[in-house]
Amino acid sequence: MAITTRALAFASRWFDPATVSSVFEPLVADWQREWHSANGSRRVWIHMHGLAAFAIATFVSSPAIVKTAPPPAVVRRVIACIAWFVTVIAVLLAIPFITESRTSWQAVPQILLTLLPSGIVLAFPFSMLMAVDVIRRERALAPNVARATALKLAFGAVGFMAIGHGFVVPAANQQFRLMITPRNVTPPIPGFRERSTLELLTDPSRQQPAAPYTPAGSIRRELSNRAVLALMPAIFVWLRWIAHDVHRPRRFWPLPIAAMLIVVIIGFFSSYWTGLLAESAWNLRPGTGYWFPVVIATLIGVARQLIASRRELSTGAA
Amino acid sequence: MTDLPRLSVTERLIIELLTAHEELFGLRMVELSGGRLKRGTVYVTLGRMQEKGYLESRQEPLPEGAIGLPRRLYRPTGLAMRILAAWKAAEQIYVTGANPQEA
Repeated sequence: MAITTRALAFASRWFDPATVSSVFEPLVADWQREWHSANGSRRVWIHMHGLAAFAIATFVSSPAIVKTAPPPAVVRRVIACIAWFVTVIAVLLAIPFITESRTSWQAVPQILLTLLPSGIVLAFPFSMLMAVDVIRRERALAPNVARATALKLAFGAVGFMAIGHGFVVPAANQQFRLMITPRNVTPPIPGFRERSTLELLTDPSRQQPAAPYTPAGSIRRELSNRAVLALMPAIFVWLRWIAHDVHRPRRFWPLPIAAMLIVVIIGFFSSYWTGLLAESAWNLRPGTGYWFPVVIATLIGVARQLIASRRELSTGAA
Repeated sequence: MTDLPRLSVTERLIIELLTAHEELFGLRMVELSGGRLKRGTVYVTLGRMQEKGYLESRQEPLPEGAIGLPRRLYRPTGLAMRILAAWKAAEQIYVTGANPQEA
């Protein structure tokens, strides 16, 4: 029976009360009655059929989640929080490059413009932690509205990163390289990092085997890097969301945002470089190492969610 | 002149089943449909039909000793019956070629 209760709780978290009442409650009620009237191994079949029906009903009803609009005030707060964090970090990250480039002060605005995209896409995934906090702080938001907002944020962030890292940053990087190149030196040819995702995907050398230190291998690594960086905001949204759900009997949980940011930044870059070292040391397929942070974050998220559901069950049983 | 509301194949089947059996719950409709209604989608269709005003529902009282949620029983509204009758009449005219103005 726990499975039907959990299925209904899941639906209540994601869908509006009207959809829950008109779609999921009748489904679960019929499922529960069928289960009660059966015995033995048939009950297993009933649960399998019930779960499949529930999954299909969830999928078919999912446009309701897309249609759930967050209040404009919340959207404004989320955007403002992301914009502030990203701008400050991007400008701070650009300062060393500007001082290193030793160009005239008149050229600084132009150089800053070419450096900002890289800083923005670097800071953007981490801003998701604060954006989630903004959503969770809105106590008046219905659970399904809060979740729909977070889901849209995650999808939007992935799209932003895919476009930013795939098209804007490569062009800006190349422009920066051209700007800092002295006039009497041959302009640098765009490397793999300075080529758009589309150019990398359509590169003829991808037909060759993707061995390490080959063009095909380098392209695979760059594409993996971009894919992972595009996914990271969604993973951070998920992790921070779960952190709020896991009720720990500690004073500082979930961790304050500043502490959480430090932990996540250190964790991300440690796992990022560990993955690259592992790829090189174990001679893995090019690009495999980039996926290490995703694997680690997913494992942490799944473990946390298991803890949360166990606590939920034990609280319910009590 | 108002347009005749559309009736999908599934909606029509549900109204026909409910007309024949008066009141049914979702899973029973799936069983009676002989595979034409699917368990995963029937509740979504039933919910939409309720929104359109084609169906009304009530919760079945829980039998003694039963636990869990009460089942929801559906019945067609007068609107649904009229729409079904209108579509059947339209079909009849289409099949026989009879002109209602001549009658």
